[in-house]
Amino acid sequence: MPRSSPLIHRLFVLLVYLILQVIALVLIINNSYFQQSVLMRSLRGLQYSSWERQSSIRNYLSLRSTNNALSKENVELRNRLVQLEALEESSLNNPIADSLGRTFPDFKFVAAEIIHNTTHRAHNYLIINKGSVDGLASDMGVVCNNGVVGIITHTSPHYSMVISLLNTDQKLSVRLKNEGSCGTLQWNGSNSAEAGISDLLSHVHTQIGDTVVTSGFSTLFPAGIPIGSISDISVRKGIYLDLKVSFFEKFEQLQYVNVAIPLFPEEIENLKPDRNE
Amino acid sequence: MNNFIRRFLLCAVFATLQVLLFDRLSLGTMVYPCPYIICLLLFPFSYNTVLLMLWGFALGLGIDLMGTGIVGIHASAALVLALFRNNLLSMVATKEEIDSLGFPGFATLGFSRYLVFVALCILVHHGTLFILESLSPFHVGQILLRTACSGAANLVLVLVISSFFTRGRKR
Repeated sequence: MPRSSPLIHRLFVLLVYLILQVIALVLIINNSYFQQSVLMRSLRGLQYSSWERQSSIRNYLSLRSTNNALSKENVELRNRLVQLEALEESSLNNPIADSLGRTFPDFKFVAAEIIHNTTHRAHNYLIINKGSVDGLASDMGVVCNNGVVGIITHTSPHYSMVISLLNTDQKLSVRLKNEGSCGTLQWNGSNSAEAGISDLLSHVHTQIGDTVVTSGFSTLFPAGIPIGSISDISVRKGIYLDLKVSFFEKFEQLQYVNVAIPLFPEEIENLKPDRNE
Repeated sequence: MNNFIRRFLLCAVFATLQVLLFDRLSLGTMVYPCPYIICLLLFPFSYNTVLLMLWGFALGLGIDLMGTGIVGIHASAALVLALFRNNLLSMVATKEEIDSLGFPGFATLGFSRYLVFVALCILVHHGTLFILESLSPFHVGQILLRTACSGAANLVLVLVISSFFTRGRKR
């Protein structure tokens, strides 16, 4: 090598060195699994970190569309939630338990929505959006979460008319929950929040605040459905009690009701002696 | 005898010795005797670096191919040693000595300077060798320990062997 060009000489040395060293390293990598795996691991590590950086950049750039998709999904989910809540409120078709978890083995319940309701007349009625197609028939009890609503009088395929409890002609067999005595509840036609029980004798011990429930003596309603609480007690003619019952349910605000469909109505009817004759 | 053939024979003898004898000595993981580097040290002072690298690469590759270890590891280490050998030499030798026709040894450099030269060369060679062998930054302590132990052993070995050469060459 000429001494006159030390820089070129050095570069040439370096070049030869690099060529030979690369050959040696290739040989090492190709002939040793350990060295190979170590080198490959570090190369893969470089590759992975570069992929990661790329994907984070890509994610950042797509934030807007991701946000849009998420908000769209949010709206969709919220709509579905509303639907589900409505469904839950009206899905009291459970034959075992009603909306309060009470079980009435002789009845199954069909949820219905009130589409028409009157409370300010002497003979009030409701229209509900379930009919004979849904298994409803006349003389079925209609209840709600906090009490009795009325009795079905007519059914069309998809709608039913319900005589409200707020009807002066309507009578309901009830029981004083604590005392056990049975009486007849009848609306007096004046106050949509109150009804009266007038056929109990004065020896019955009761007090204001006692709960009134359905007796279950009719086939219309299951026993034990709470109706209201006693708000006033007075004695009539010395032997009769006049009780005022304030309803638990506000009839003006009713939206959903459950129709109690008796499971074995013929059996009960057939057992009655006057029918057998 | 022709210089080339003499050098080739020297390398062949040490490569063979390395494969047949020193590789098979089991002195533990810390001490790895490899006195073949003396072949590269005994080239003349002003020997061309490129040619020296070719010699070193060929010597290491021969040992790799004949031996049972990782192919390429001795070639790489000897190559690195050949690259730095002249620079290391210029650290211990004067310009007149380098321009002379002799070769490094006790006769030309004296004991202490030759010792330093050999030690530096062994450090470079062993460092490369053990780094390539473990290829991990987590074994620094082990690499240093192996370099120190093997280096000390090989230093003695190389000095002993080169004392024969120097005496023989003088006559």
